[in-house]
Amino acid sequence: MIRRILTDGIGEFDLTRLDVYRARGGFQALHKALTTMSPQDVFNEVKTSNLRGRGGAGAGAAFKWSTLPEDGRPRYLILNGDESEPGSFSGRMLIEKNPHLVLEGALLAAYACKMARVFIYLRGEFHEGAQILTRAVAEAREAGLVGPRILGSEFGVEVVVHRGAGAYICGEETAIMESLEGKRGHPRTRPPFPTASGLYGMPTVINNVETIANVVGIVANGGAWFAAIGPEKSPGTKICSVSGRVRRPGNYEIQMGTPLRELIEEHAGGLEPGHQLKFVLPAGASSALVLPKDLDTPLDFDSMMSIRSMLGSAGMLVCDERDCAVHVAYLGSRFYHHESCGKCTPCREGTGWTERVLHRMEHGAGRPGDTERLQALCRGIGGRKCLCLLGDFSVTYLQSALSAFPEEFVAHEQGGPCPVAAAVEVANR
Amino acid sequence: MSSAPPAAGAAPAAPPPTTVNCTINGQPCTFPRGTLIVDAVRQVGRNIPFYCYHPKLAPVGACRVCMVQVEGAPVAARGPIVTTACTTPVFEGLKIETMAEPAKLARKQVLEFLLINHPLDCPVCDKGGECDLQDFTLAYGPGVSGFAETKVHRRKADDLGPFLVLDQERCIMCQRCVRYENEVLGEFNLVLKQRGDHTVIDTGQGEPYAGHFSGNNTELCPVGALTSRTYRFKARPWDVRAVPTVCQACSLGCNLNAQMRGDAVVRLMLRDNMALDGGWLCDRGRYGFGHIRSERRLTQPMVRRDGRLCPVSWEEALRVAAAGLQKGAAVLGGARLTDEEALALSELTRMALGTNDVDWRVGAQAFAAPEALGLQGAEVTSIDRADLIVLVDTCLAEEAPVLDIRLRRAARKAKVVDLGPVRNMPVGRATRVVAAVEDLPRQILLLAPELRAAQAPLIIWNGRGSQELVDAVAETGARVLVPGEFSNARGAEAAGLVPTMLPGYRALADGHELAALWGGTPPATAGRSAREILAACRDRKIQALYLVGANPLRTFPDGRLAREALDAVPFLVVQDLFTTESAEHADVVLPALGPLEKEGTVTGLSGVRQKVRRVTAGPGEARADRVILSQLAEALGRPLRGARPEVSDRPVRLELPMTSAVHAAPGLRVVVAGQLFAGGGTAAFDPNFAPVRGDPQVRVHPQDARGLASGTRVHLRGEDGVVKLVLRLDPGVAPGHAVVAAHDFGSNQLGPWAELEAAPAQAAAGVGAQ
Repeated sequence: MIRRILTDGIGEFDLTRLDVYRARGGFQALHKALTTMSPQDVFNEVKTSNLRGRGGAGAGAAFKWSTLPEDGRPRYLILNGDESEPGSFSGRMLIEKNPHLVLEGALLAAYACKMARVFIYLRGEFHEGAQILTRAVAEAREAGLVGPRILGSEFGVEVVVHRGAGAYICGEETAIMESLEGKRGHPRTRPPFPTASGLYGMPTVINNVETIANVVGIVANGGAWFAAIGPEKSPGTKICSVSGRVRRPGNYEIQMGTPLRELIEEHAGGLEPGHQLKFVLPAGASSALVLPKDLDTPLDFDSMMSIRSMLGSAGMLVCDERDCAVHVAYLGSRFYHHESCGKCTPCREGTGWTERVLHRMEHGAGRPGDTERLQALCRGIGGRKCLCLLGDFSVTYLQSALSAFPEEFVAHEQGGPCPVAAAVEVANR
Repeated sequence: MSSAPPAAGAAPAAPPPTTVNCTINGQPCTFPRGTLIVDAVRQVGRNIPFYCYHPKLAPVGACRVCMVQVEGAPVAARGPIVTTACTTPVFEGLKIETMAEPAKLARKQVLEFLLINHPLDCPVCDKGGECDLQDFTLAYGPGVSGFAETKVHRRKADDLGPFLVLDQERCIMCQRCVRYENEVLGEFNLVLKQRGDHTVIDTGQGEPYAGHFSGNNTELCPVGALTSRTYRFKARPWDVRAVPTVCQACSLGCNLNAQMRGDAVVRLMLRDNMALDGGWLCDRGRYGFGHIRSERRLTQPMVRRDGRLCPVSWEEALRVAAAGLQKGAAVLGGARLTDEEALALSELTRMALGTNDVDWRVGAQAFAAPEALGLQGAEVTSIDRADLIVLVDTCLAEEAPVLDIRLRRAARKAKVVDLGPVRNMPVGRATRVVAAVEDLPRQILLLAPELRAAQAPLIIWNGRGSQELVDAVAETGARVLVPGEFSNARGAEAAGLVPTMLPGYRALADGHELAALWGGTPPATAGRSAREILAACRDRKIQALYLVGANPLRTFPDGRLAREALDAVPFLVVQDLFTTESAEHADVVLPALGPLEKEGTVTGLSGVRQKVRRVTAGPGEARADRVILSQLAEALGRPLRGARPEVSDRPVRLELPMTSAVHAAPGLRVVVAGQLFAGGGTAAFDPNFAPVRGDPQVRVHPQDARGLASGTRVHLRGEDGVVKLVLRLDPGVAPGHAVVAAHDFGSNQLGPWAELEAAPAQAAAGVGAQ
């Protein structure tokens, strides 16, 4: 059964309009919460729902909220809309196509956690999304849904839409706070954790846009309703962004636990005729490759961990036999070299070194020992030696590519044109 | 990307113990809770490499080279992990291994990474030999590098401003400089630009570094990225030796090491005295050694013959000086001498010249020690403890710069009231109260209730002003800190270089107490103050004037009086380091030694006495003031005894010199404010400061600009004279005021009121040259 919770109505209705959103039941969850539920009730429903963060790590949303200290300091909620993972575009769709759902979820979370202010941090490139969301917030403010005394209740909260300057690192939950404070997007050391000392030193929760959007359904229908969808430990739906060598790339909201094969072959229309799947990068550039043998793995946090990959943000990059592992690795290394913030040594220096080696290999100037060098670089950068997870992410895909397709790397050590491309050419002749 | 925080545990019933027990390489140790592993490891005498960590800065965890292996909850509950020692505190039961193989490997990998884009130009790098990258690579790094790619190239030998040279390629991104600028100074002069391995250190818009504390960056930098221009290619660390001494550039007396190559000072470096300088130096102090080799130093005694100063022997000069002074002399100066020299001058004046006509106050400052006026003195660290600090017409950043660093830190928690005609606290949080100089007493009385209610009130005041101001300050009950206009004002005052007191704050009537030490009783009648001495010179009532390290033509507030006095006095002896404006009037010039060239003690603004060392011989035939004074006393037929009198057990209050009332007049009220690199002293003659001296400026509020733009050459026309200056519009100046730099030539030649006018066309040709 296909359930559409977050994407319901997208493509059929102009949900960016408040009247359309409301006509389809929008803001009824907020009305329900403010009229019949205490903040604790809302929190309890989210806890019951077992909603897990959609940003990547899959931490329990209610658990994060529960770590806020009760010390009277103002609390902040940051919606992480800095969706910069290659191949991930689900948050962008929600922001551009269903902004009021995101806003309503944020207001509910702010109510549950007694937030003083909500900051929606958007990726710098989301120019259109920022306009749409800003317009939506203004519309909602006009309708008494944002600002003081929301819907006539005692509850009020301000919402700030902020655009980043285009840095992958600002999706990291501490760098996002530095960026919001007007500083360089550099991650902070933890502890202190954001819920203890976050934005401007105040208790702060950072939630992904998709996570927050789920709160609306949970409040409207109850936590138990949500918890019953999909696997017990990873309930709900997930919007998967599928791109690469598939016939119908796009966003697909699937029930958690749907096998990866179903997503690719049924929803995304399968691969182009005559081509075979080689591997999938299931969480953008940050995850280990999923090989054809693991294609029946259910898409949920724990199952994906069990095959030593991750669901992450579910930005599925699908590659077929035409895609050389070295080429994909080179593209990944270029991305991480470009996006390394430069704060800590292994990531700053290591990503650049990795790119330079892969650039040579990709451009016919490989040298014997390059594969070994890449493995040593992965060891030098990875293993939690960096300040934030970007360093580890920058080697995860590479390590798995090295172990899955060693012969392609070794072939590139010899220099000259890509042997994979050559083989494809022969097959097509 | 996110990571889950630990659950907020239930509130513990009992407060946690203040110490924790852990082991370092198997050795059990106990540390205060919260101690960082890096500090713990260092405290037990073990080594650990680090770049971004610095004891004077907050930890940042950027370089990742201080990796250690830890085991135990809460950081490594599931078995040993490798982590950064600079961001992890010690926990109860934590097992720390600094030399575990995984930690050694991680450090090796980080060091290999750090070197891949480093230029390895060690043979020509000023840091070579004292470079942490060299040392840690030797101790912890890999012997060979697997790097066979092209290095990233960046800007080299980049002039960042008057004192700093930046080599972006050598930078290892520890961010110590950026964090120092941010955390310690709050100035943000240096920032990071670009990203990843293209990140560079630079000034915000690529403009020259414009702050007073740039040099500290060169000592924070663990590699050769930020170096001092004055030290560039001058020496190797193993060629130099350090001589501990004390800075004499201002009255704070920061501790420093003079680093010598042979007899030449090649650089001055930090010698942390946390209670005094907080472990920092200002650029005036750090780079203020160029006077030693200045071409304008006086190198031999001179006597005026046929209207020209002619070189003579010391014997001849002293003979002529003594003969002239014996006709009835007054003495001005002494506040740049050491304590011992000031005492010698005091003895010479009283016993050899037989007069109390002596005054160190050749500037605007009226007293040095608050205690001398019955006020309660303060320590430097009183700033740290204060909850309310009132700045009275005193800009520490210009007058005792390193103290301003302390003030900026204090201002984060204490309330600071910035009182006076000019903004005194350009960096940091302060409540600004605009007040004309004449209005200061009333404003202080308005603040008195708040000061009295405070736990630890502190007034920082430049010591200028009238008895009325002293009374107002006394009313507040606050402790008082007075940054001296001259480096050893306090020592001079204690030595009795004032007309109404003998050494040790002793009444003139108690002169008999000195009889045994001085071999006679000093004169008991009060002498004349600096103003009275100059007036008497002008009126030809004094036959001879002896200036010791004093240049009243630049420093005395009433410049016209000083000029008329020096023109009129029949016989003038000047003892100084340079051919000052006053020395040009002299009949006898005696070349003296200066800071870093002589031994002794100096008394800082809080009364702390410190030893200064002679690190280098002075130029030519110049002699230490104590030698000159002693020889002059002999030539006067009354050799010095050189004793050091005790502080009197019946100290008297200092009498403030009379100040003439200022009558209202049209125009802007001229205010003289400290400006670090302007003015006299050694800075005026130090080639190291040539790039920062600039043209003399006048600062006015934009509404007083009369349509003139910042940078315009203007004339300031006062009652006493006209001065050419460069206009600066500064909203920090109270409207109706014109601020000129103290001791800048011309700043005292205006009188109390002046009109701002555009410079005539021909003079305006240089507009925009700034």
